[in-house]
Amino acid sequence: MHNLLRLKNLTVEFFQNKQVIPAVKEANLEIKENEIVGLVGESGSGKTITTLAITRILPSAARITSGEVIFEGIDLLKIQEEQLREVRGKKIAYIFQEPTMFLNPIKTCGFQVAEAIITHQNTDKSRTFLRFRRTSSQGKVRDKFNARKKAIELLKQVRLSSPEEIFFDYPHQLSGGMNQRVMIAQALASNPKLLIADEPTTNLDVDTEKEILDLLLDLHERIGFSCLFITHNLGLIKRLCSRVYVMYRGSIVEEGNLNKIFTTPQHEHTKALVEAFLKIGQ
Amino acid sequence: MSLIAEVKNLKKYFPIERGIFLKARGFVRAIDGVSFGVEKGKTLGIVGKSGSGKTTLAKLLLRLIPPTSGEIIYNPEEITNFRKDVQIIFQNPYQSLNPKMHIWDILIEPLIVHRIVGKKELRGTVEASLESVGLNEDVLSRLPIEFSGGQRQRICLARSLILKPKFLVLDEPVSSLDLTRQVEILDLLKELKNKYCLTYCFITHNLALLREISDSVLVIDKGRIIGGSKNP
Amino acid sequence: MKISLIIGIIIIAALSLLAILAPVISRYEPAAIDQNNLLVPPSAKHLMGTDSLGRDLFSRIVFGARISLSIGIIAVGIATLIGIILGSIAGFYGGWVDSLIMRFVDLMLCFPTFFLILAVVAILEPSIFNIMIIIGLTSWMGTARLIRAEILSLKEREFIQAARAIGASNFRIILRHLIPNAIAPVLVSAILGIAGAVLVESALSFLGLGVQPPVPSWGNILIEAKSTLGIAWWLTLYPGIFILVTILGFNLIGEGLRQRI
Repeated sequence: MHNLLRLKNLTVEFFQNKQVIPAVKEANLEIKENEIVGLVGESGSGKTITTLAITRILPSAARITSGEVIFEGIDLLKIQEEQLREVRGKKIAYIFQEPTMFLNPIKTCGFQVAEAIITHQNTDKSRTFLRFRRTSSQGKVRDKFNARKKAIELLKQVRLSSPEEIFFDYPHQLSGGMNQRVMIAQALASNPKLLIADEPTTNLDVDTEKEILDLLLDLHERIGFSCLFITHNLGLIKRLCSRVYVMYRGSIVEEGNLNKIFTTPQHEHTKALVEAFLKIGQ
Repeated sequence: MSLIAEVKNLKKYFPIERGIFLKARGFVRAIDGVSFGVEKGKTLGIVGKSGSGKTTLAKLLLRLIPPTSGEIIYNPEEITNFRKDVQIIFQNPYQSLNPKMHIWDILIEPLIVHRIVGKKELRGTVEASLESVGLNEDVLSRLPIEFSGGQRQRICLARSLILKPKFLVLDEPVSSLDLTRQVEILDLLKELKNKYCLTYCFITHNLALLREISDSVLVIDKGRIIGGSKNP
Repeated sequence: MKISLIIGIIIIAALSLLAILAPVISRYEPAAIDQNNLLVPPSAKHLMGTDSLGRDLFSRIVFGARISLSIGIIAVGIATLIGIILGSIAGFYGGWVDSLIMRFVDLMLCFPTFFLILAVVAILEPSIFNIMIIIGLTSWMGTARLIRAEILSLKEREFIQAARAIGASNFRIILRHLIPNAIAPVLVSAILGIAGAVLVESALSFLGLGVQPPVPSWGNILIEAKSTLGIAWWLTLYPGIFILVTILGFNLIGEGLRQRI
């Protein structure tokens, strides 16, 4: 199985107040097709920045200063913004820790999922879902109808009960767990090859967390996609991933399959993570 | 076995307000008849899912909100000055400190409010409390935003402990931290309890934490206690 | 820092400097009548010309700056103080106290403020002191609402609960915890309010109900300017520009700060 994504010596630095602060130091990482890989580390270790660097959606103070991000054979750091847009959100989708921050509070959930569907269908045509155009309005109506059907399908797939009603709900009317499912539905709308999940369950209570993890595993089996799962909790990695990378202070300090990491951790920090999990992980 | 506090048939209902005139159309029964005792010198663990009423219980114990019915009786021999002897650590370290106050001001505030020490001893008392939570005195001139979650919880602990309380209620004190930090704070809590002869009420959703720290456990669900045991 | 904010700061700093240094930089007394130089256009001797009594316009403008700026600042100071006090009490205590104060706010907002000011000033004698007070007493409502809204949302935050838990009094909580965290939008509103107050004062003075001549105010210089419009354009132009630039300066600062907070 060849690599879907490969990070080669990726370095990201922050430029602030005439200071250069390294956030990610020469990260090397591989994800194969249909693989769930974990990236574990403390807060501030650089996990999120690494994943944002993949599709170049970094905060303005951060810059990728060296390395390569090879996705399906192409270095994403070298292509134009237009080509990158074909990948970002489509082939590589993200879900984040705070669904309420990434869901528009004034649009219904169904609308947002359907919008994602339409956006990724029409690459260079209309961007907004509801704009009426004189040319091929029939086609647009059909598009909207199909998108709505597909959106309800997706909401069903993420195991939301009564998806037809949830379609018309706003994010603030749903619980954290339900919002997270909506975000997953939105991410899967484009049938991505790679799903990057950045601490998606950290804000959820234990039961909901378990459900979301089960959901991800189930979707992975049925639909098939690769997943990069980021967390600070080794326990989640155990349930989900086959391989894991350990990150500490910007560098990837250890890598291996689950068994190896848990039974024979090499790096100091990995040992600390394993110890913490054994003591108080659930 | 003396009790620091006794909770008797405690209830807290919140009215659900609907309509233009905000008439109460029913109640959320956050706490629905809870009774238990807190033994002096021990750690009572209370475990429950989110929404089970844990935080409401913490606020009731601190008398930050009044109960709808029932009572919480504190032992007058142990708890002589309520706002001094009973303290709380909250869940969210990013909201528990006044973002515009320097750490020095945050830590001397309890001392000023209770007029405990004179101006000369202020510095010494503050530094001692910082030391007991493992922080350096150069945090004093900084603002909360410069610190991580774990450090903020330590500052909150220093703020609570500076009053030399007898009873500390901890509402999910480590849940928003990384696992490795959780272990550190947990160890610190154990150390402090032994050093200052504290009584803890540790509220959390993570049973594994309670295995590590508590002497007995109560399970709470939908505002009621549904079970409990002593930690072997 | 955005360029507009910098420009605003420069403008107000320059105006303040002019006002402070008024006695130093003006060659003539603002009330000095000179029969030989009536309605002289701007020249080397009189930078901005003279008015119909031969008084140097430049000195009247810079002394007028003192008056207009101080009235603006003090009036807004009074309004902000009243607004913070009433708004914090309403927000913190809630219940009937909140309702009472907010209904009072609604009542005050019903009055067309400017006409209320006119009426009051017409009854009492127009003096600088009265103007400051009356503008202050009629422009606190916005601030009260702002502070109340901020406090309502801050009240439930853990650090406020923590302050209660260590035994802090309500007064202490309001003063040391709530107000410092709620004050940012109020600051912006206050700065924009100074511009408004300067405008109100100018209008009042123009109508003869504000600062009384011979004390110069940009507004009352314009009284004369009205009748000499065709002949002495400088009497209209200079006060007008100064009022405009002052308001612009405060608005730029206010808007610039709003974006940063």
